[in-house]
Amino acid sequence: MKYSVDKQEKYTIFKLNEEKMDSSIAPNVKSELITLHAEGVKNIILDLSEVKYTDSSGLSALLVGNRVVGEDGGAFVLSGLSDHTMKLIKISQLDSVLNILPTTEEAVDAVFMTEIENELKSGREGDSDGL
Amino acid sequence: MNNYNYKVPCSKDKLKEIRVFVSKTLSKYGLDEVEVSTLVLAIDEVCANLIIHSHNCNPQEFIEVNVLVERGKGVTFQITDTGKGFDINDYQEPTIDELIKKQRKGGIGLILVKKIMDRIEFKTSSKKNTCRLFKKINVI
Repeated sequence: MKYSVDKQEKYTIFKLNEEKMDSSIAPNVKSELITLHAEGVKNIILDLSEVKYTDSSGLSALLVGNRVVGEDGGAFVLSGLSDHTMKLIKISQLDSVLNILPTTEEAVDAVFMTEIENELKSGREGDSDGL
Repeated sequence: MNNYNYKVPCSKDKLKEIRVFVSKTLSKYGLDEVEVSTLVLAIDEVCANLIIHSHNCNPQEFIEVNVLVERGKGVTFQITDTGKGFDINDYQEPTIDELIKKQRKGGIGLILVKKIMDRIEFKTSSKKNTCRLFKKINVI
């Protein structure tokens, strides 16, 4: 499986450099996402701009990524989806669950927004404790 | 009306050949790329299911994929095999909620197949299973 990982302070971009995210690739994507999360990466951006074809195992990998990252309050954002992948996500109604943005730049912004929201939320909770 | 046929042994590496066969066949009829890839995916899911689950990847057994293109009507895919039949219509697919929360493994493939196709029929006669999947689509 060809991929690149760009680790930043607040997020990590995982870019899959494959044309297909099918049953020969998807299980590896799944385990890489789980590994990143286990290593302490909170927010993951999955850049799928090179991926043209996805099948059900690919969608399943996306759901696993979304679950493990989301359970810890992190952001799991998908970017650069092909028309094919987007169509499958819509058909299976997973668009209501997954966080999808057109570009990685927008995904990065979304991660920062989530971080700020979380900080504000914990700040407010802190205030109310003090009252 | 045009008919195309492809028969392969039940081995996982044949799934790619089936995808290429379906894709090449449909590409002759003026469908756009996403329409083709969606139908290829549906057939891929059904065949993967048969090869892996019904036939345990036994290359001594075969499945046959038939594509019938009717102008003005659409495309009918017919997948035949012998052995234990599996009727997709009887399969209760997981809900989105179950997929997300309960970590139920699998099931997305058949959700997709059912949503992509307009009609699915299944019949078994003298040990031969036939799954017919129809898609109403504008073929040129």
